[in-house]
Amino acid sequence: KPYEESKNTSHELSEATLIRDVIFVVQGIDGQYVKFDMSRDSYVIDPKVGVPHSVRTQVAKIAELGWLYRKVRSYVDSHVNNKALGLVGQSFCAALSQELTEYYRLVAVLEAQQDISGEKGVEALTLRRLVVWTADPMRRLHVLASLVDSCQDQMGGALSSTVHARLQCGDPFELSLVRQILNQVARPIRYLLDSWIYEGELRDVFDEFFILCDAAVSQDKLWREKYAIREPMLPSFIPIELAEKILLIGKSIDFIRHVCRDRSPIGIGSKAAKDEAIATVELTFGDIPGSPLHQSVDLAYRETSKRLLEILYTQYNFLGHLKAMRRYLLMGQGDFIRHLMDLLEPELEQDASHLHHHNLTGTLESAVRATNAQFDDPDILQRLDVRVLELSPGDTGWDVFSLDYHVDGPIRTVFTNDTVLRYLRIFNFLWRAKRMEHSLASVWKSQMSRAREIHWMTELSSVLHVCHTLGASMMNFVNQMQYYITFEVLECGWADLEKAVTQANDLDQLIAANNVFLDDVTSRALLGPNSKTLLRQLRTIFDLIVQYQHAQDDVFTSAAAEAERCKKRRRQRTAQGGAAATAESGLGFADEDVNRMEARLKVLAKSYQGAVRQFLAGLHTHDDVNLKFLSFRLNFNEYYDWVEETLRD
Amino acid sequence: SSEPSVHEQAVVPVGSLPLQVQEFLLIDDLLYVMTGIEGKYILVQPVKRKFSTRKFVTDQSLDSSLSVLVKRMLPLCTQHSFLCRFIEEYSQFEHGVVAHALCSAMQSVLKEYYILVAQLEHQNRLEELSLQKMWFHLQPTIKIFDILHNISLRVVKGECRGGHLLSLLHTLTTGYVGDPSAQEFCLFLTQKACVPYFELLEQWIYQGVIRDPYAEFLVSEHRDVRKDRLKNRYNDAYWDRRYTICRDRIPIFLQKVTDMVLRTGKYLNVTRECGRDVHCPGAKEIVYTLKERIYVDQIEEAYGFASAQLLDLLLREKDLLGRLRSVKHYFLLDQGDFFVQFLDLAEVELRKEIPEISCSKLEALLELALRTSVVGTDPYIDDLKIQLFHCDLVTQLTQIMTVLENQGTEYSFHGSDGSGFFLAGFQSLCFDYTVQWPVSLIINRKALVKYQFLFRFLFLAKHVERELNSVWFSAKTLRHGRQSTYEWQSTALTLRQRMLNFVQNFEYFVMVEVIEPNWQILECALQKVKTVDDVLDAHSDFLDHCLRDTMLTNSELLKIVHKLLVVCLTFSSFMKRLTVHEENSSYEADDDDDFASQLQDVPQSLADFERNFTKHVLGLLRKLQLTPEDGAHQMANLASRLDFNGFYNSKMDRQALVTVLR
Repeated sequence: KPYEESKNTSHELSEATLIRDVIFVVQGIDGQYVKFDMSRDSYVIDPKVGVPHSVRTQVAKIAELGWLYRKVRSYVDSHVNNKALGLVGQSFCAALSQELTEYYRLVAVLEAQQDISGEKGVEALTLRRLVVWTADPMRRLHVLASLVDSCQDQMGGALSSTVHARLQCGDPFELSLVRQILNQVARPIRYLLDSWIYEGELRDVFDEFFILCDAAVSQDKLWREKYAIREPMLPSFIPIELAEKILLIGKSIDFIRHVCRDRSPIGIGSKAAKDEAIATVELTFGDIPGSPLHQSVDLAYRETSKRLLEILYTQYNFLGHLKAMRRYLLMGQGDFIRHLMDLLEPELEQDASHLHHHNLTGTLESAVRATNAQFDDPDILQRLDVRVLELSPGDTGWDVFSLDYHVDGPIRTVFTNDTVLRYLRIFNFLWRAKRMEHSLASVWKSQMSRAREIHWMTELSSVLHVCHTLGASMMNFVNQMQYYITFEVLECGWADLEKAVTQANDLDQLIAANNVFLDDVTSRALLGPNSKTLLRQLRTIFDLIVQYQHAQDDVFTSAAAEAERCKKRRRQRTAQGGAAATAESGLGFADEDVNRMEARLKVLAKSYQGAVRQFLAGLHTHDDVNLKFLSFRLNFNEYYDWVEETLRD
Repeated sequence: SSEPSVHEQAVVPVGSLPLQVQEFLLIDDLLYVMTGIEGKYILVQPVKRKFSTRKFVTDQSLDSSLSVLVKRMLPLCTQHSFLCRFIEEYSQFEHGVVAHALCSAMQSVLKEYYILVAQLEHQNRLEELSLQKMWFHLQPTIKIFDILHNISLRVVKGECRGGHLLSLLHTLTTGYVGDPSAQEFCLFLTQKACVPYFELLEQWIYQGVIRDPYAEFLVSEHRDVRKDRLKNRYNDAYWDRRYTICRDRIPIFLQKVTDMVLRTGKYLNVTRECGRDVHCPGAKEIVYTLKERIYVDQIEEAYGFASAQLLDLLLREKDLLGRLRSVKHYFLLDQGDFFVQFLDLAEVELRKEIPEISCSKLEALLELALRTSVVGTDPYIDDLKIQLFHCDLVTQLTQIMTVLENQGTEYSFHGSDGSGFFLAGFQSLCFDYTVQWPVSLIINRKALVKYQFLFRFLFLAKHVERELNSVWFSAKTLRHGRQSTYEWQSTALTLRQRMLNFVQNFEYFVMVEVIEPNWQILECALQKVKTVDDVLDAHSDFLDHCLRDTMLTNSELLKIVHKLLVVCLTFSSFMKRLTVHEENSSYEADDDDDFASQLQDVPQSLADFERNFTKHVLGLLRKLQLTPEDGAHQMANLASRLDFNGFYNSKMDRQALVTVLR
């Protein structure tokens, strides 16, 4: 019996003793002969004991399990009570413990086996059998140990990202293990996510969720500033676009609850989805659109945003306000603006310091009452107000007058102070342009009405001619500008805005649409940063128009005075009798007066032409195509080129 | 490999023991060595490099016959050692998912093997095992290890990964047709190794996503190629370059369907980027089998779905046909009333040279012309733009042809030749058209350039026709002029009529006999298409046929036609100059000697024009009759149309006669 013999004659340690030790060792407990050797960082058999070299190697191989076990165990021990590790870390530890429990079961089975002797006195458990038994646990522990290695000191989303990274592996055995652990690790994230996207609450005590809340931010800045994405905590299985959507959902709910003060439940579909989500906690990992996570987020997103927009549209009359902005601040309500200008004109002609808010408000009200604006929603009319801009010395009322529109509540998120200011800036520009049209119209009126009174003053005909041509070209300029502003800028922009608003899916898109509209209008209406020179040139042209108005007024007043004088003299003459008819020479304008007037107008005309040509050149070289078109429109029949030529000659 | 301890040295020489004991001890030792642990009598020699063969040394004192038996089994141990090292190395992350899966499968084989070892040990302890018996029990294992060793050796040598590795496994599997058990084993390995690869494949053909961290999949994604840069480029780079096939990563069993696989994912991608949900209804797990049909069927099904989706998107949602029609309105002048108006409006501007032309003005005029014409209702009207080229059509075409002949890839159209010579607006005018993604897949830059060629060609003809007509106008005013003009006027007007006849017939040919029929073919094809590639093919066929049939691709014919048109142009400008002089001189006195001398030359110049014109027309006719290409049918039509009443033919005969007589 060679086996029995080899057993009996051997002075070596029996296999059974070794196995007993090994079973302790795989649980990280030192045995009688097999002990942990710090210097080699592994388990070794006591070198003094008589054990063959091959058996030593075999034992050392199996004892690796003990080493791996110690590693995993020490991680769990040191972290399980560490509250600062957060929910994700906690669940990671739980997952590891669960794996270890499975492992203990195996060890228990092995231990039970070691005492059983098989047939003919041969042991049921040998070292080689142990190798077979421990092959799978060895692989598992390997994976766990390397996970523990890479997850050292991580928490929250970052931890789950680390675990997720291990999924990039083709080994099905490792894959299923990692997936199982990841499911556990992701469970708290799912929990936080669900409470965020279905209730809008951030239950993130340990700062491990990928959404950041700044509690110090006040309500009216909630939308823009309160929440943000915490990048390092973003799990790698949630792509950034999805994360932004998730952020938006919770933010919307918070907004509905706290700013709109609406506590009604949101959406039915997401309710069902929520129940389902709670039933199947498992996250699907993958940034592939169409995965269940995507679908549930999408559903919640659609319903929440829809609800939010619904509230804004119905309870807070967003569209009404938007249209009111268009009508009043962007001069969509033509009759109202016209009438307001008529009423305000005398007042605005004065120095700016003479303006009084209450007077202006009174005028505004009477303008509203006299025009179609009176049929507007009283709520909107109530918000309409007058604002006097900051005075600088020398300003007339025209420079500082502005309409204003008060917004409050949730709508303020769209129409922030800055946005309203941008609207006011545009209003200011439009108001100026409108005023030019207005004053040119009054110039034309006086031309028409005075023409009859002074047509007999032949010496004035050259002056009047300059007056008329200059007026006509100014009129053309201003009309074309007005056309451009109303149709090409405002109407086109507004059409785009309306389209974008109807297509907007969430509040962010709404805000963006409004901003795009403002950007478009600002840049096309020469208010943008790269058209400053153009705007200055346009202002010069406008100033010249005002000067022209004054100049013509002067001409007409002096003409009227002269006419009056003539009439008086003629009456005197008639009273004195026809004898003095020869003394006509004292009548009419002196040559130098006419020349003075004509010279003044000509200088005006010349500087006007120069200013317009500069303006045209500026437009022509501008990057914006629309402005190039404007230059083409203003110079349609190449009048200004012709003028340039004649001037050069 | 721990250090030898004192106790191991005290071994009795094994040769001195009884044979039975010797055999028992040897078996026990062998079992150790088989699991990679050094025994007492069989010693392991260290390996020099990572993958060199492991050698063993047996005790010298062994019984010689036993020793031979042991040596027979040693190769198995060598292979085991090699496999262990192989698995350890190739389970590393960098070797890719296919290698991971293969290693995992190998590990499960190894586990079976350890069970066998444990069983042998048990038998040995029961003293029921001999070396002979053991040799018998190990036979299947030896075979399996042979295969595994073979695979791993080739992997190590060839540094295979991904698709290449799968090709290797596939060839091995199919190579074992004569040995069913080996084939089954190989199939098992291949199936396991295929799993992660097929997962990649499924993601790609069912969702259009690539998540391939180790660059193993046959399609590779280039994230730096973006679609927003598409419109600036001459070629459709996004479509061609965003996703490409990597030839060396294709497993040979997918070789045939590679293109299909690539296109499936690409279609899905496009569809999804347009905001549609892609969810393939027939998505199933793909499994590797020896029956190729099964997975090819699955791939084909996915392809059919993806293709139908994209086609539906393009044709229905993006109104491809409407787009094409709109392009046709502008580039092929099929609703040309806007064009006449545009030329009337922009004539002054177009007569200037390029640097003086204001493009924005032209665009404003174009818009005016468009809005007031029939095409004003076209929804895509805003996409039309003006583009001015710096070289004329023929130069551009010849340049391209030379580039193509020299196998050049890209050619820049926009650079001026730097000679300081500028073209007039009439020669450089062209349209451009903005196309949005994803329609730009079909109407891409390449196609647009072809459209532009056609347009410039048509425009040249139209321009010539216009000029000839204006000669008629001015001739009207001359009719009652002076006596001296009568003599050459009739000659001039006859020549003009002949030219006009040529130009108009030529236009008719291009518009009605070339473009329209081809367009009809395209529309019919678009009704029937099944895949997006069909659309692309139909569209490029349409353009290519148009180009070919209008002689734009035949440089000889093109040169003649171009010369003819140039002759017409110079003739009309010559006539205009004459009339201008005539009008001026009719007001002033007749003492303009300079002009009078010029007038004397008029008949001579006219004769020159006529000779030139006739020569080229005859040349063209001769060429047309000789052209034996595919388009011969249409060309012959043109020839008979130009020479309707045999006018030129008789001329040709006469010429031939003259040459013969001489």
